[in-house]
Amino acid sequence: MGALTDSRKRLSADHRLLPSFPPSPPPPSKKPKLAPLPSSSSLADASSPPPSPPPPHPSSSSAAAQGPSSSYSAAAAAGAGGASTSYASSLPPSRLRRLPPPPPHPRPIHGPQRVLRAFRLGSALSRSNPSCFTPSPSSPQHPRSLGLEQYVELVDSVAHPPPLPPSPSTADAPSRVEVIAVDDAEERKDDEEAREEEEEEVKGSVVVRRVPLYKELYEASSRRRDAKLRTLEFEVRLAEKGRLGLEQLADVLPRFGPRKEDEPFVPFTDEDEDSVDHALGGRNRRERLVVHESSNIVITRETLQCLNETEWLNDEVINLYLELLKERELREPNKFLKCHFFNTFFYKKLITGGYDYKSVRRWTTKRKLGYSLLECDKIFVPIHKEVHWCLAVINIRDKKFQFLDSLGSMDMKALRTLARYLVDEVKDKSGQHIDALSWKQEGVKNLPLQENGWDCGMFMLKYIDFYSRDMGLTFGQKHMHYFRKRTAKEILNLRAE
Amino acid sequence: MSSTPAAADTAETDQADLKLVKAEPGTGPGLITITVTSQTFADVYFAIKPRVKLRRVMDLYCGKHSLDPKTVKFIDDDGRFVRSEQTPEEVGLQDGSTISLAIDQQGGACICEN
Repeated sequence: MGALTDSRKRLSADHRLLPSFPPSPPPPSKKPKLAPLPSSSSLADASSPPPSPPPPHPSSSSAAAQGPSSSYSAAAAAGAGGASTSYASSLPPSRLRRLPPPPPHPRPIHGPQRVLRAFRLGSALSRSNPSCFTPSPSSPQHPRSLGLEQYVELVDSVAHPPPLPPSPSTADAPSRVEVIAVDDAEERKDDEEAREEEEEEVKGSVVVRRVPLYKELYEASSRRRDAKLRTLEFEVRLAEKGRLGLEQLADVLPRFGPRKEDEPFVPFTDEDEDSVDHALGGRNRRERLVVHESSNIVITRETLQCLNETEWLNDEVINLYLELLKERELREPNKFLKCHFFNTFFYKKLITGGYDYKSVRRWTTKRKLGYSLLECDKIFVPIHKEVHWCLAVINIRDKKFQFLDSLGSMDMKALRTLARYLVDEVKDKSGQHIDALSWKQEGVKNLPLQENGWDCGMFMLKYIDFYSRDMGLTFGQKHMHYFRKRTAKEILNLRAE
Repeated sequence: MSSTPAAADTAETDQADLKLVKAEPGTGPGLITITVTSQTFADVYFAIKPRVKLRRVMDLYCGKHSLDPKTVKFIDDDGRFVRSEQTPEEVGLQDGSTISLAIDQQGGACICEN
C-alpha cells in the first residue's frame, strides 16, 4: 500500500511538470543565483590555476542554451537555503569562477519522460530539445483520463524503471547474438477468430452453438478426468517400481544383516545388564516382576532369582520361556520352525498310572491351539526327573523321536510313551492312523554337555531354542552365564529374541 | 478310591470355621462342584460359588494335606495354570470340572561324588 501511495505522489509531481500545466514561477528572492557548489575535489582543482585559460562568464543566453540540466541545477541552487548563500559569499572571488560544464552522458529517464511514455504521448525527450518543457499556446495538451490499465502500467513503470542502455565501454565486448522476435499476433488472432466461428454462428440476434453445451461440458469434465487418470497411472507405475525395488532389496539385505549363527549370542546393552542385575539382585523377594496373562504365569523376584549362577531352574521360568518361544514363532513364522512346546507338567500328567491319554486329551484341542500337532515340524516335551531336566523331541518332519540329556543319558521308555501318545492323539483328533511306533528313536550324538551340577535346565532351554531356529547345537558350558542373563532379560521383557 | 467331600463357604472365614459337608455335583443353589485331583492324594470335591476366588479351595486343600501353597500349582483340564486370585467363572470352570494339583519342579542334576 505504501508503494502505491508513493507512486501516486510521484504521479502528481510528474503532472505538474507536464507541458499542459503552466510551470509555477520560482519564489521571488533577492539572493543571487549561483551555480551548484562543486565537490571538494573539484574545488581543489578550481583553486589551482588551470592549464588552459578559463572560459568567459556565460551570459544569460548561453545559460539558456545549456539545456534543462543547467537550468534545473540553477533553479535548485536558487532554491537552496541561506547556508549555501553565506558560504558562497564568504568564498574569495577566485573561488566563484564558473567551472566548465561536465561532458554529456546518458541520464536515466526521469519523471516527465516516464509519464509521457506511459500515456504514449511520444518518445523520450532528447536533451537537445528542451523546448518541449515550455508550453506552446497554440496546442495546449491536457492529460488523458487515467484508466485502470494505464494506471497499473504507470505504477509498474515507476516501480520497475526500464534498464539503462549499455555503456559504450562494452563496445569492445564479443559480438552479441541478435535476437529477432517474430510477431505472430496476427496469426494467433486469425486462429481465435476461426475457432469462434466454428463454435458460434450468429443468426439474427440469437447465438446458435454448433457444438451443444452438454457436449462441451462433457468434454471439459473428461479432460479433467483424463488428467486425474494420468496422475493415478503415474502413481501406480511409481508404486510398482518401488515395490519391485523393495523386493530386490529384500533379497540383498539378508547378506548384510547379522548371520543366523550369531543371533543367539547378541551381546547385552548396558541398560539390559543393569535391569537384569537389579531384578536378580533385589531384596524384595515377594515383588511381582511380570505376569504373563495368556498362560497365567506369575514371576516374582524370588522365582526369577533361580537364574542366578549355581541356582537350579524352576518350572515357572521354564514354562514362561517356552510360552515366549511360541509367541516368537507366531511373530516371525518365516524365521523359525513351526513347533509346539508342551509345558513341564505334560509328561508327568501323561504317565499318571503308567499311561493316561485321557488326562491330557484336552490339552491339544484345535480350538485351543489353532493347529493340529501333525502340522508342526517339531514337538518339544520337557521331562523332569526328580532333580534333573531333560528333553524329548517328536521330530515329525524327519519322522523320529529324539532324546537330549545334558548328562548324556538315554531314556527309551520316554520315547516309547511319546510314540504311543502321538498315535492316540492323531487318532482322536483326526481319525487317522499313523505308525509312529515304527519311527526311529535315538539319542542325539555330539550333544553339548553340562560340566557342573546346576545348569541342566539352562541346557534344556537352549536345546529347544536352537532346534526351533533349525540350527545346530553350537554352544557349550562357557555360554551358560550369558544364557542365564539373556533368559532373565527376555522374561522381564516378555519377549524372546 | 475314596473321596473326601468339602465345601468352600463364600464368607471370608478361617479354615477352622469351614464345615465339611457332603457335596455332590449340582448340590445347593448357585453352587458348582469342582474336583481337585492329585497323583499322591485322593480326589476332593469342593462346592463353591462361581464368583468366589479359588484361593479358598487351594488353601483348604493344602491345609488338609499339609502342603505349602507356595510350592504347588493347579492346572485345569486344558493344561492352563490356575491362579489363586482367579474365580471359577474367570477360569471357565463349570459344574463337575476338574483341576489338577502339581508340585513345583526344580532341577539341576547335582552330580554326587562317590
